[in-house]
Amino acid sequence: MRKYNQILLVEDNPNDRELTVGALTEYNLANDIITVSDGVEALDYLFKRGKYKDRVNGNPGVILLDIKMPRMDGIEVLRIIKSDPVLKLIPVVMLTSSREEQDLLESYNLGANAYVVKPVDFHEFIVAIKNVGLFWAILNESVK
Amino acid sequence: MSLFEIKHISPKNLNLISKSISVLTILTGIAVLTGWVFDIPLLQSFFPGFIGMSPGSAAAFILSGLSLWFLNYTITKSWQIYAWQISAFSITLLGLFAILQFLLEINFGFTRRFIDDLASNEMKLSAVLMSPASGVNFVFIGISVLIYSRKYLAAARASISLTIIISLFSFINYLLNSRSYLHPGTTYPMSILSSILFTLNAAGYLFFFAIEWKGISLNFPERFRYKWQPYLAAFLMVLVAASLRLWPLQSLGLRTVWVTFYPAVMLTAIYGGFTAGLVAAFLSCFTALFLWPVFVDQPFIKDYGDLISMMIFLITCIMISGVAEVMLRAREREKQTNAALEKEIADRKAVENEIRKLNEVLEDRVKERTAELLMNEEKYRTFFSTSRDCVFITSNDGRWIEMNDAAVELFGYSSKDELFQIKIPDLYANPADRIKHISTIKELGYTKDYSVDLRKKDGSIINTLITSTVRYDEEGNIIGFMGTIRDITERKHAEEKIRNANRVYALLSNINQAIVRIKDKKILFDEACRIAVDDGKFIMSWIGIVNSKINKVEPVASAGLTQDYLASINIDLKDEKLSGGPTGLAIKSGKHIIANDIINDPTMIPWRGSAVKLGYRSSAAFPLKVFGKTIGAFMLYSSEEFFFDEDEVKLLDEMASDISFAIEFIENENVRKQNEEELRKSLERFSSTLDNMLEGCQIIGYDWRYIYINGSAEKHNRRPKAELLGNKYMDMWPGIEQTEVFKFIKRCLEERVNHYMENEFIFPDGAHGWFELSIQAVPEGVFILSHDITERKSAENKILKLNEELEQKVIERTAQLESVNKELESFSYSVSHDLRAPLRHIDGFIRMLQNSAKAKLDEKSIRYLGVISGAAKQMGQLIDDLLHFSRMGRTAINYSTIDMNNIVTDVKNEIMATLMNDKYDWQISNLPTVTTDYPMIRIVWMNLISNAVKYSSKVDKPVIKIDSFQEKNEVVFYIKDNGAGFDSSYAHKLFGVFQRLHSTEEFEGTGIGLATVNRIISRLGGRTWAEGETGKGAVFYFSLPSKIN
Repeated sequence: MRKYNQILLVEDNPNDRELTVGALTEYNLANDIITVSDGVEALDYLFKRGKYKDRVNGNPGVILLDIKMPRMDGIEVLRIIKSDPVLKLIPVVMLTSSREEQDLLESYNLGANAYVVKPVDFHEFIVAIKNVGLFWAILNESVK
Repeated sequence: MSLFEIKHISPKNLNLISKSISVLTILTGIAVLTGWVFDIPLLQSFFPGFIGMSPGSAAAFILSGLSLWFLNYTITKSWQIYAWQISAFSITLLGLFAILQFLLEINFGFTRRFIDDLASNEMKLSAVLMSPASGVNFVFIGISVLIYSRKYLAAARASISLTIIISLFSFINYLLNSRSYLHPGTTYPMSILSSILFTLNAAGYLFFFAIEWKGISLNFPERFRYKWQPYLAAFLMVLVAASLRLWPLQSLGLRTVWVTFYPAVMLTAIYGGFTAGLVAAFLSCFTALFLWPVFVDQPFIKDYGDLISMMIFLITCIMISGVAEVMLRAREREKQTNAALEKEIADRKAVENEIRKLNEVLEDRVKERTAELLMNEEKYRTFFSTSRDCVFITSNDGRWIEMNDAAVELFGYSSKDELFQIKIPDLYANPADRIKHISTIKELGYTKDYSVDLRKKDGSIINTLITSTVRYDEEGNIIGFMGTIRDITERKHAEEKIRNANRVYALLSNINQAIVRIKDKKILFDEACRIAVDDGKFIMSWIGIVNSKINKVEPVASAGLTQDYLASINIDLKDEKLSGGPTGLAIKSGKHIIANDIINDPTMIPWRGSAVKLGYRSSAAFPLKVFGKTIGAFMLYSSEEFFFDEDEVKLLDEMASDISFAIEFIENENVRKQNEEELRKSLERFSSTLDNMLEGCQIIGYDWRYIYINGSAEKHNRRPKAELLGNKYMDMWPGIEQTEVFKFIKRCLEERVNHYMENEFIFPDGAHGWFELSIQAVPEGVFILSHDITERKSAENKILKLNEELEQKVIERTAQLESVNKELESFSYSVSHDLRAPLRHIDGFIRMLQNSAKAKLDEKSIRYLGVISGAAKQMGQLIDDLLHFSRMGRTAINYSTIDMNNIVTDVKNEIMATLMNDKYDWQISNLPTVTTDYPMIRIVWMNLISNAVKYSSKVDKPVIKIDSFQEKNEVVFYIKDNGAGFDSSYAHKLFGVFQRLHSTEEFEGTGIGLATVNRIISRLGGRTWAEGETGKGAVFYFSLPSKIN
């Protein structure tokens, strides 16, 4: 069996989180999903701070990052990730319910690798997550 | 001619070269001779291996050198002459010997002593004898020197030139034949040294000749010239003597050798004197010594006897020569004496000649004087007869003695003879005059310019001046008179004319003065008439002016003797007779008319009687012309007949034209005065206009002083004008120099530049006023037209202020709107995120529920789940469309040029791709290019086309037509379908948000698409509208402006 890369899902909304994990589970990816609820936590995880101080596993193969979050939003997280010499190599997929162009532009400017609008249609949503997850988690060789 | 000519070498240098050559030649000759004597081959030939120069040639060269030396030497002594002449002679002889030797194949034996031991040496043998060519050369040299002294210069030069040619030939021969030429016995070649020396020598001679030729004469003493004949004679004599002795008299033997030589020497001496005799004697010895061994083949002097006989011969010869010399000199002296005598005779003859010439000159003078005297008399006679003055000689008893032609002419007679018949007293006009005249002459002895009237043959009187003297006889008695008569009749006449002319001049001048002085016509006329009578001495004068109403001439002024003449004159211009007099004619013709003889003038008939009675004898009328039109005439009357002659009339014409001019001037003056008055009035009018103008008018002079201020300006200035007028601008308005307006007034004053401006003026009390100022250059200075615009300005200011406030408000409002817009934006952002999330969750979890609980749920429950999911999706679509709609109102517009065809096709294809249905009939026309925003217009077409497809989807054969047309300022696009259409009474609702005319069941839709279209098109500056009918399709139009600002 192939070893999948870890997926870091940054999502504040528990419903969305559940739905996303559900969708990923459908493709047997749930074991490799680490979920954090906001930007601060995501950075703690990535930089091994706070409660993730003793984290031993390696960095995720892909980060699914929601934009609209309390405390620190996804754009800010993306900026910090992409300015770190090591972390910037991790592919980042922006997940958002917004179709606002400004978010899209800013995300790509900051170096986001993909941008996925969370469709309301669950089916579409599943397809989107599936595509992104498979692509990044399966096909891409991660940088160790 | 010489072979070369020397042009560029100075005589001094030529002389030097020539002398150098002579020295060189002598030295060479001596060297060769030395060679022969001491048997040194090198010295003999100079060129080893070549044949040497013969001793004879060497000797000849020495002589030639000497000769050349002497030639170049300034010859002062006779021996020098002899030296070169003998040298030349000897050279010739040596040359001749050489030739003879060759021709006769004999050896004269001069060089025998060199040959003795030469039998074995052929070359030397050949050298010993002089070559014939050298001989010829020496002959030429000798001859040229000899003949040179006779000045056969050209021949001498030619002769010398020949030697060069011969030498060169020899030289060339050497070059060509090499040594083969050396064979002795066959030829006698010239040595190479000789040929060189000959050339050199010849050059030396030619240089010398060139000196002579260049004009430097040798300047021989005369007696040295032409004295070569005695030597030639000596030579010839000796030659003859030798010949005689050698051949015909050979039998006489040796003892009597001298027999023929004695006479030769004697003859020579007699002919040529001592030296010639001596030369002959030595030549004889020479011949005897050298010829004899050759021809007689034995030496001449064998013993002392021979020597003694030679000595005797020589002594005898010297004696003979001495005697001959004495005789010669005696002969010469005699010759000289004779010459002296002849000279004396010639002198005397010359003196005689001179005296004769002197006499001739004297005689000539006498003749000349006589002729002169004769001429003088002739002159006097001519003078007497041709004098233009009458010259006379009379006797005491009153008879003519002599008179000239002028006298005959003076008295009007046809000849002298005729005049001779007339007695002198009869010639006096007044016999008493003669008695007085004669007594005056007798008393004074003469009269000078005595004025007497004489009578001519025809009886007319002439005025004369007589200048005469008394003639006395030897005893002192008066025998008569002589003198001249001058006719002064014409002069007197001329004097009279001048007097008249002076009168007229005075008249003219006084009238001119009057013209200057008098500015009134009537007075001028009176004065002119008075002057004519007083100064012009006319008996009467008057001025008539034409009365154009009755066409008659009316007298307006007169002076002098008139009585009732003028009252009755009645010059009617309509009547031919009454206007035929001078006055009428002058007025009619515009020219002066003269009636010089009133008594006999037919034109004067109407007035003759009274005129004659008043003493008028002649009259003249002069037209008076004003501005080219004759207005009357000036008439003058004289008591003399024929008073008006050409000169006077000319002056009087001038006077008339002066008076005319004066009248013109007066008229002009009147007109001018009238104009001035009018001008003054008009000025007054202008001035009052200015005074009453609403605009302020001010004039400032060049000195900055106020000249003029009108009422309005007074108000504008807010100061009484009396306060300003005459004062300086800057004194009245302190501080004005710093203002704009002052600058422009200054510029206008100085540069005459006009300026228009609006100026805010601050009055001394601090009040402000706005004025429109027009600053203009006028002759007086600067004209300032001012218009009070203070009120207008304050209104303008108010408007300006209002505008500013308005602008401020707009800015504020815009800012407000912008902030509202921003709020709206963040609101819609939130909506898009936060409203969508729950829907997504509903949909998501239902899906998950369906997955997990599908087996437990009944069909009804499953349908409920489907409805919930559909509602959630519907809500999501609604939110998306609303966001889209709101974004269309906010996004910035980017204009670009867009081909509508591309967009329409693109959008159509995109929509059709989702349908998988090609039942649609698309009729798309060619669409124009427009300038607009690409993404927006694409959304418009997307909405419209998808609508058309959607609403015609239930028709069997849907037809969609897309086209455009041009309106006035816009392009209109439309899309037409044959679908469901709409109820046109609701057409106004079509473009509103959430407005739908069909149910969702019939056609899906949110009701936002057309609202978005409407919003976009109105933002792009166009309009939208629609036409339709239920079930019959619809047409949707939108327009875009043709031009985008």
